[in-house]
Amino acid sequence: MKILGISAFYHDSAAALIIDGNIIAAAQEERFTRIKHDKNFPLAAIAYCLQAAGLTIENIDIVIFYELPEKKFQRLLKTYLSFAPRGYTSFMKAMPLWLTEKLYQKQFIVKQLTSFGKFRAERLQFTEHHLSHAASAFFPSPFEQASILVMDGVGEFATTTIAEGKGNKITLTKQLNFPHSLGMLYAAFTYYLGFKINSGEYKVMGLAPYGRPIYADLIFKHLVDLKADGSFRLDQHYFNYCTGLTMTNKHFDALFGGPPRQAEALLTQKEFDIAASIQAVTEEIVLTITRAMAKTDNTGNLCLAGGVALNCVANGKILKDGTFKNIWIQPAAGDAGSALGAALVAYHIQQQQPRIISEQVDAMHGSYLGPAFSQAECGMRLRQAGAVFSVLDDQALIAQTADALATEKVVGWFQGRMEFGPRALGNRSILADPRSPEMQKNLNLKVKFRESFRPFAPSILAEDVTDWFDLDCASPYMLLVAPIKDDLKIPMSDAENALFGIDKLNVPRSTIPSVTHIDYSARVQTVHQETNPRYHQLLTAFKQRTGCPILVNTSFNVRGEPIVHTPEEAFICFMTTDMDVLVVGNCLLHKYQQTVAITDKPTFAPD
Amino acid sequence: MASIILRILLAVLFYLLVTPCGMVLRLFKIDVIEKNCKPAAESYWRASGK
Repeated sequence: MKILGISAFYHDSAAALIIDGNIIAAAQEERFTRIKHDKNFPLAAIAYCLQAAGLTIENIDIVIFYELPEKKFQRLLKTYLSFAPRGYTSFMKAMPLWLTEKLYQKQFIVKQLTSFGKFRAERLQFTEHHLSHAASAFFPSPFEQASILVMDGVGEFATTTIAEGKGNKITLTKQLNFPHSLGMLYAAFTYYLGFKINSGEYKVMGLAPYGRPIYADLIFKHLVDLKADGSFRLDQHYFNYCTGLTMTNKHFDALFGGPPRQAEALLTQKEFDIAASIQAVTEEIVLTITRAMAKTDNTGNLCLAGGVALNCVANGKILKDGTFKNIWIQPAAGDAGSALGAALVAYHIQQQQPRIISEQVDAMHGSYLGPAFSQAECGMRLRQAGAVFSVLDDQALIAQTADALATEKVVGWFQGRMEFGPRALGNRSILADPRSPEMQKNLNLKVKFRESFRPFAPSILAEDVTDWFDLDCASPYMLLVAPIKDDLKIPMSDAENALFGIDKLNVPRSTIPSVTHIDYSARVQTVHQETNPRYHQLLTAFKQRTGCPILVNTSFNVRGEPIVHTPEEAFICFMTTDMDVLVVGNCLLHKYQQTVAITDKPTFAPD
Repeated sequence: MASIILRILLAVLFYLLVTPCGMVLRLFKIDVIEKNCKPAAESYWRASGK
């Protein structure tokens, strides 16, 4: 049975294809259209999924959309009813769109699918937003049974859902509804701190360790009413997202002593402290929920999805809390992953097909579910782009790349299938030596062109993780933050401790400074022989040369750009940044050998 | 033209239907989206599937 799942129209549109329950292909639309978080109907991602399996739309048994548009509309109406006469501007902005387009989503989707060939409307199904997330969290997990927690901004009504997974069944047990949403709360602070919502949340999380959570009590006193069982409500007096075009309002400003920070304005200790506070509040809410869940859980397993599950610091805290023995997090925890979740709902729940638990780490194939380019194609595309390169056999390629990395060269690493989800996991990555004290600053400013405070993540051989980090489980998707081992830490002197905010960053605090955040933590990716043998080999070769089984791994893009998809995009990114070496398949390029000048450098909207 | 008519209709709808209905609901203390915090309540969870 062939099922295509689709998510679209809000942010991060995506498509996923499963055949007889096996995950065959999945990709986000942004990678093809080069529009970050593209929310348009994912025509290119669908085309890719079909082509990856050699299918046409006529071969697809079920197409399923990840949420219920009518129910979402109901929520909107109820919200206006609840706040009127407030909300006029928002009403006048939203309603024309709903009445002319969004309410006819079914017809629209059918029409779009017809562009691929003959498609009958009865093959189109719909499912609930949080059920899609829950399915993406549980069905690919290695667990026969598990508790499931979904937290995001909002779908139809639910913002927080607790569910139980068993075999091929998922039972949604309880939920919190809009406007009470942890995703919205975090987004409100992201907005207040001058970052873009739906993408700047990472920056808030990255800023948090520079500050002190001195506003956490204030947040609990005025904004969040958290109950002992983890349920909560947000005092709408301070927020504007229900009825306005902004996230927060003047009462919120008064509480935190000023208007929202302007984008790109200087970051001060106040912003660091607010970031630290909302992160602390988020962790407390999440931990209160998971502790309450653990009381009725008899599986020891927890599955997470929804945008809040991308908060890898909070995830690390759940793990450390120990209330659940095992945690599995869907790598595409945001709405992109619910395209996959919806397809799994159609197969296991609607069609009641059995679930076979993968014998690998899980059923996600390392999340390497996107397009790949053959060696012949890589060579041809690079030649056409004017690249100067040599083609090496696997052994020489790994050796020369590891040599370059060991001499502190920055390497673009483009291999095999593109990752599904927001993280680059070693197939569309920029790699570097984590031992270099200057590397974080250099990568941020000269390669990624982004703010210098932003931390980088380490990839480590899965076998070696316990020697370097306080982490005794797999973290293949970079979704768990763990502390560095004590013996690797370099303690800070009092003078260094007194340094302000970002100046602290320049003090190396471990033997792998460029992946050590200022609180001695790191967002770890464990690299497994079974899911990415080539990257595993490279790490092994780097370890042989340096004794260090770790590389800095950051996504292959510049600030504001979606992660590269094709060899040409990799080449342009390589040429327009301070990367030294580029490896595409078995092609190896040195910057100093290149002869072409990139004249039409692509530009991207600020993130 | 069509969009101007739509906008006028929507404005009328908002002020003559949505607003009064909302006010009546509030008068009878009906919280349609469970908007308000209840400091005395023990839990805010609600059963799913309803």
